[in-house]
Parts: sequence; C-alpha cells; structure tokens
Amino acid sequence: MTRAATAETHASTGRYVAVWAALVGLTLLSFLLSRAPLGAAELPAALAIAAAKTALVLLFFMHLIEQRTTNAVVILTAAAYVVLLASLTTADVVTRRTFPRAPTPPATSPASR
Amino acid sequence: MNAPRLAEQFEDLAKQGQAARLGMWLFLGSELLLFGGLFALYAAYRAMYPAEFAEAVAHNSVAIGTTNTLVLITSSLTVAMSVGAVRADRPRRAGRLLALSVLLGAVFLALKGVEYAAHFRDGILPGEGYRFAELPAAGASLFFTLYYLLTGLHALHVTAGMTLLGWLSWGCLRGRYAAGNDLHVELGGLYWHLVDIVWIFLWPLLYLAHP
Repeated sequence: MTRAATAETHASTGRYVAVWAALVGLTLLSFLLSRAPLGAAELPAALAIAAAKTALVLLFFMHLIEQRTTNAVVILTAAAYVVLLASLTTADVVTRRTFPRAPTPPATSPASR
Repeated sequence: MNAPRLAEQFEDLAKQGQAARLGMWLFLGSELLLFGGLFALYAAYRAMYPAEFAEAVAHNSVAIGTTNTLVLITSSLTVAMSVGAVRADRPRRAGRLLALSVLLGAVFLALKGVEYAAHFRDGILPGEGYRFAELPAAGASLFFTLYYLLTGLHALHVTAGMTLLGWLSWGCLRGRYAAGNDLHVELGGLYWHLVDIVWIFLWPLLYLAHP
C-alpha cells in the first residue's frame, strides 16, 4: 500500500467521523427537544432535524456532493412526491366536511305543480 | 481479478459507472415511494386521531428506539468508511468494516425483536388481533398497525441490506474489490444508507413525537 493511499484513507475517515458526530449530536438534540414542552411545534421540529440528518447522509455518506447533479435530481424528485402524497392526503382528511348530498327539495304540495 | 469489465455499449468506465450509479439512485427513489404510501397513511391517521397517536407513541420504548437510531447511524459510518477503504486500495480493511456493519444490523434486529416480544405480551398486535387493554381506542389500534407495517417493511430492508453487505464483505476479504474496482461496494453502501434514512424518520414518528 502506498503512502498516498494511507493519507487518503485518513482524510476520508476524518470526514466520515465528523459527519457521524454531527448525526449523533442532532439525534441528541431531537431527543432533548422531545422532552421539552414544545406542544404543536414538536413534530415539525423533529421532522426538520430528521431532514437535516438526511441531508448529511445523502451528501457525505452517499457521496452526492461529489456526484453529478442528475443523481441528486432523481432522489429529490422522489422525496418531493412523498412529501406531496403525505401533505395532500392529510389536507383532505383535515379539511373534510360533511354536506347534504343534494339540496333539500322544497316543501311544495303536489297540487301546486 | 481487479479491473472492472467495460460493457460494449459504453465508451469508457466513467460513463459505465455513472450509468450504474444513476440506476441505483432510481431504484432508491422507487424504494422511497414504497415507504411513502405508509408515511402518507401515518400522516392522515395522525391528523384524524392526534390524541390517540400521542398516547400510543408514549407507550413505545424510547430507550430501545434511540439505541437503535445510534446503532444504525454508526453502521452507516462503518459502511461509508469501507467505501473509503476500498477506494484507498485497502480491501481487507473494507471487508472488516462491512462485517462490523452486518453485526450492527444484527444488533438492530435483536433489539427490534425484544420490542416486538414486549408488544406481543401486552396484546399489541396488528389489525383485528389488537387486544391492548390500556389503550383500547381505535386510533391506538391504527397507530400500532402502522407501526408494524412500517417497522416490518424496514426490518425486511435491514435483512436484505445485511445479506448484501455480507456478500460484499466476503468479496473484499477475498480481494475481489480494490481501488478502481470499488463500484459494487459503493452501490451496496447506498442501499444501506437508504435503510438508515428511513429509520431517521421512523424514530421521531414512532418513538418521540407525543406533544
């Protein structure tokens, strides 16, 4: 094994460990926030942290940062469709109202027709 | 045998490699959509039964869920390091790191098994089998049915990932991969990281968020 290869291993290992430390830190932050009285903000905060962790994994562990943009477009499109699917399905459930199926017929006697 | 073979439809190895990477990302995108249906159901039912979902989330073991999060993040680190190692022409180191990742996957599944066993004892079963006296509401039954579908589908992916990483580990230890012939290790690693990402979202949805 060459000296250059050793240096390369150390450089990439250092970066991977730094990303891992950031992921563990964000996990800890998410855990602590879940114990804080955030109320309705709790779920959005947890999902935002999960999105930040995902960005780190995609960019560095999955090497998107050094790959062509095409590859990122594919996975971001899929992610966008999942967000659309979940949010529009939820929007339907949340805004659903029960109306009468048809206008109530006017109370007229058969004779006046 | 360390040089990758160039298929005749490609001009050079760089283009062949990019085609393989793009194909892998397309596959991962379709995997995301597979999980997406269940995530959408979770969102919709959580909007319908917010209180029941919060109570059911609070019943899950945060200790096991959080430990499993750390186990999977660490396994992603060892997989990323194995890609770095094989690129730096150290396939034996890569093989050991991949074997460690498989071991971490097994720890994850074992903890998941402990959790499932506790749920079974409580009568928490999916769908019609739900018998949990503490949380009898329909919303809680829906939550735990989704919990089984999401974690079950995820556990299947962990098992598939462990098989793949085990095969790659064997290949690395046998010297099948090296610098310049590292694409298989890289693509197998991508699959494992996707499994990690799905869990990154499952953890807050199933264990943490109960305002």
